[in-house]
Amino acid sequence: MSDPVQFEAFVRAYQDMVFSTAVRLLGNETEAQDVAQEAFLRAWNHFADLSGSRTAGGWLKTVTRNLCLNHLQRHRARWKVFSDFTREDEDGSERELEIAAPDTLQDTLLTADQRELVERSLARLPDDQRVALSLYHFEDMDYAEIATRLGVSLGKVKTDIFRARETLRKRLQPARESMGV
Amino acid sequence: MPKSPESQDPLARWADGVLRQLPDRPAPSGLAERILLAVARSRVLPWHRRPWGQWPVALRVLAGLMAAGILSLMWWLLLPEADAMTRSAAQAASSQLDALGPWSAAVSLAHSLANALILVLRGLNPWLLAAGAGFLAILWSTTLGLSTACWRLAVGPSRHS
Repeated sequence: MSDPVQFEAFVRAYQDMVFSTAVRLLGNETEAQDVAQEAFLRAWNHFADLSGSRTAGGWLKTVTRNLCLNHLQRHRARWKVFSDFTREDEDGSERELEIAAPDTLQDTLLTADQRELVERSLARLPDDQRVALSLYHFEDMDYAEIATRLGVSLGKVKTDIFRARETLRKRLQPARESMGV
Repeated sequence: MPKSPESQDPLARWADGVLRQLPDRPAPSGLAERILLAVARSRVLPWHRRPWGQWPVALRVLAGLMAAGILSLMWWLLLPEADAMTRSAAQAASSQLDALGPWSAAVSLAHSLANALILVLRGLNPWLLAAGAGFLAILWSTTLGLSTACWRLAVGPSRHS
C-alpha cells in the first residue's frame, strides 16, 4: 500500500522538474499543470515500485514528456496531425541550413533576468519549433529520435531546431550585447 | 553537447550553452496541493469507477470469468446446432483434457471460446461482414474529414506556415 506522507514528499521533490518539462514543451502554464497532475497520478498508481527506486525521476520525466507530446498531438490544431508539415522552398526542395557566425555566449553565465528572458522567448516560439528544440536540448534526444516520436521528417526537425535557435538568438541579442558578447 | 556532428556548429553550441543553464522552473505554489487533492480523490473512488487495471485482483478475475461465461452461453444458446464435426472434435478434445488434470478446466474454457468464435464467424454472411466493414470505414472517414474541416475553420491557419 502506498504511503500518502511519503508520496507528498515525492511530489514536492519532483514538482519543479515535472512542471519545467511540461511548460517548456507545452508553452502554457495551465496545460503544464494539468499534465503535471496527470503524471503524478500515474506515479501514485505505481508508487509502490517508484518510492524506493533511483530511477523514479527519469520515469517521471519520461511520463511527463509523453503526456505532453500526446496532449499536443491530440489537442492542438496547429500541430497539424494530418500532414507531415515539412517546410519547403518555392522550388520544392528542402531548405539548406545556414550556419550562423561564431559566438561565445555559451561560456557566459546568465543572470536571473536573462534566464527569465530565455524562458519567455522559448515559450513564444511556435509549437513545432519549441517542442523540437526542447526535446533536443533538454531531453537529450537526437534528430532521428525526435522525428520518429513526432512523426515528421528528419529534415523538418532539423529546420525547426535551426529556426528556433535563430529566433532565440535574435530575441536575446540585446541581452548578449549587454553582456559584451 | 551530446550530439557530435553539430558540436562544431556555433549556433548549436550557443543554444545548448544557454538552454542548459536554465534551472528548473519553480512549480506554481498550489500545484502540490492540487496534485495531492486529486490523489486523495482517486483513492476514495469506488472500484467500478477506476480503470480496469486498478480493480481488485479478485474482481478482475471474476470479470474475466463472467466474460468467458457470457461467450460460452452465447455459444450454447445461439448455436445449438453446431455441426457434428465440431461436436465430435470437442468430444475427442474432452477425452484428452482428462489427462491434463487441474489445467483441464482452463483448456476446456479456451476451447469453448475458440469454437464459439469460429462458429459465430462461420454463421455470419460474408456480404454482411463486408457491408458492415464498409459502413464503418465510411463513418470513420466522414467523421475524420468533417472534424478536421471544422477544427481548421474554427482555429484558422497555422502559424507554422
